[in-house]
Amino acid sequence: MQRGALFKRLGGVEFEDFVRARGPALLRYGYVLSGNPDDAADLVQEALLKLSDTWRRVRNKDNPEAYVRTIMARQHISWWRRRRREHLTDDVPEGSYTDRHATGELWRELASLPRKQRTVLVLRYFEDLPDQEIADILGISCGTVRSQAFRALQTLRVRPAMLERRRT
Amino acid sequence: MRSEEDLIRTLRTAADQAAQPPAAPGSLPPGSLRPGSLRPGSLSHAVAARRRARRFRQRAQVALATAAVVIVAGGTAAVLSGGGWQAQPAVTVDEPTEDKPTVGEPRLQVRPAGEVWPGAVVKMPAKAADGWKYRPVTGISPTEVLVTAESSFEKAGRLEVYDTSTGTARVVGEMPAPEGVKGYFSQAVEVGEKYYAWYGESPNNRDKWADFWIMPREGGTARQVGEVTGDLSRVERIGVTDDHLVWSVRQGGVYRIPLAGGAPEKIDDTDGLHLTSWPLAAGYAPGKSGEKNQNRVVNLETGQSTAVEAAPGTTQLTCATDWCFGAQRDRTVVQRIDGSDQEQLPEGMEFFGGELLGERFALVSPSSGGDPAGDYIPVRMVYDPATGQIGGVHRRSPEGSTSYGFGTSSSPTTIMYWDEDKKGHRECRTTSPAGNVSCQSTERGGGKEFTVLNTLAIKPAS
Repeated sequence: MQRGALFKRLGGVEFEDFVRARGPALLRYGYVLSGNPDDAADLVQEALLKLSDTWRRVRNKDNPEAYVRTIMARQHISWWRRRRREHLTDDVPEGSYTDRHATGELWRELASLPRKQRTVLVLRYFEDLPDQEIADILGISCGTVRSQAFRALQTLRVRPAMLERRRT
Repeated sequence: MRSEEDLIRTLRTAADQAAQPPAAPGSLPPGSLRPGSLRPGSLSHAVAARRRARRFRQRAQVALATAAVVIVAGGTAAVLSGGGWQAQPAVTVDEPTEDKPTVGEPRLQVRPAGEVWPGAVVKMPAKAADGWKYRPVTGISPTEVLVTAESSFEKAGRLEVYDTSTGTARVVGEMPAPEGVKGYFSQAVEVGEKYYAWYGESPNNRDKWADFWIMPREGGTARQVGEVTGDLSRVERIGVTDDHLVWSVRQGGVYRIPLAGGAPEKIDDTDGLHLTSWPLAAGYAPGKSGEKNQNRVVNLETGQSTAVEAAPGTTQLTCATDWCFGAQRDRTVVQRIDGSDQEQLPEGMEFFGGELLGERFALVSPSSGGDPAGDYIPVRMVYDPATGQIGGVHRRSPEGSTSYGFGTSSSPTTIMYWDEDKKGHRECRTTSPAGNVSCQSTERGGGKEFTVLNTLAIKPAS
């Protein structure tokens, strides 16, 4: 695929620029959502493909990045609902994971959560979104967000007190 | 019990580590990553491949799914304006002129480098306090430009560092001429860890002779390291370590001389190699002069040699640590040094050649045409393979010529500069009774200030 041809189809250089500029950040997000690099790449590529379809509309009306991230979060849940992938996604990123903050262990335990719970946690603690926005993105009620988060934190033995106040 | 902070830290740490290549240094050749790792550079390819595969699947379903998401995104965006997501696309998104499919060739929209990379384009005086003219050499930090000050044209006499954040210059030291050498000119300056180094020649006589100098980075007196004659004096590029001055010669081969003084010696196994930036040197495949492709990059410190493969039809393939650029007719081709992520840049971006600016950016020429009086048409364009961003250098003058300069460092420079007050001027006169007209383009004005693009001030891709 030559880039010139891609430009032509999308009517400008911007989509390509967007992929280049935001790709790394999106891949990081995909990694936190899915827990392994292959699924992260899958998520990002599929979401970008959808973005490219609607680029001309989205680039003006919305924040394209928010759009992609929304697709990714939804996709992450629905894919696994549909595909029931077999392999466990508990790969610890390569490199040195010192257990100073017990982050390695917690990361492994995140893989044991149901997808929806994990996604809620990622949106809340990694994306730093209020529960109402999480509800909008995932198309669920605010109460469901809270109960999903509560259950997930319980499984991970995370005390839910500290940051609770500024979420409502 | 764990805290929410632990969870936040875990997610962030994982995210940060996700995008990094494996930690163990030296376990893999440079540029290679484990399969399946998160490589943003190949994203465009992957998306394109997916598009092709999708054509063979059920289109109707995909269209419905996409439409559903658009509505959701619309709702999300309204919430977002409250400040939820901080991430903004790093590129400005232009308004479309119309909503119909584009017909014909898309016009390549290029914005000036200063708009694309604010902070990387700065102004600096074109002269020192005593009136000597500055010649920018290279950026040594995002806010510092190494310059030589010249007493007369191309006669460098002093090394200075101009700090663009404070607008002040600092003299590093004098660049003296050796005694008894007529027509001596000091040439390209190299930036080492401890020292600045340069070489000098007497280019206007037939002597095959050159000498080498160093000066401490913190400033002080320049010291001549040694002199060479014969083939060894055909210096093309130098490097400086803490204990040696290194250079390659035009016919190929890399030599070194101890800083403490001593005899020059050839570095083993460097036949046909040309320094790019110490410790890297490049070898070339056979080809037409000026069109040869680099075919290997050698680290002279470790001895590691990386083979570089050019795609068929490529000429002038030129590599730095991570990226290579070359020409395919009037197009520019980019690839990683391991041959992956090979792409042709869009039409209207012709490879200008030369080395990679700041070891990362390609210099390309815009296609001719367009109306410089009305549109912004850069003289050259700088392309960032890490982000795909393109910045225009200077602007084409509707009247006559437009000039710009590169830093004169020995290793690939990080800067380009131009004088925005200099205006092209075209003068025509009738030269024969038959009415033949001869025109001459010159430049007028300027001389006070340079506009400098320092690629060191462009942030690495996030």
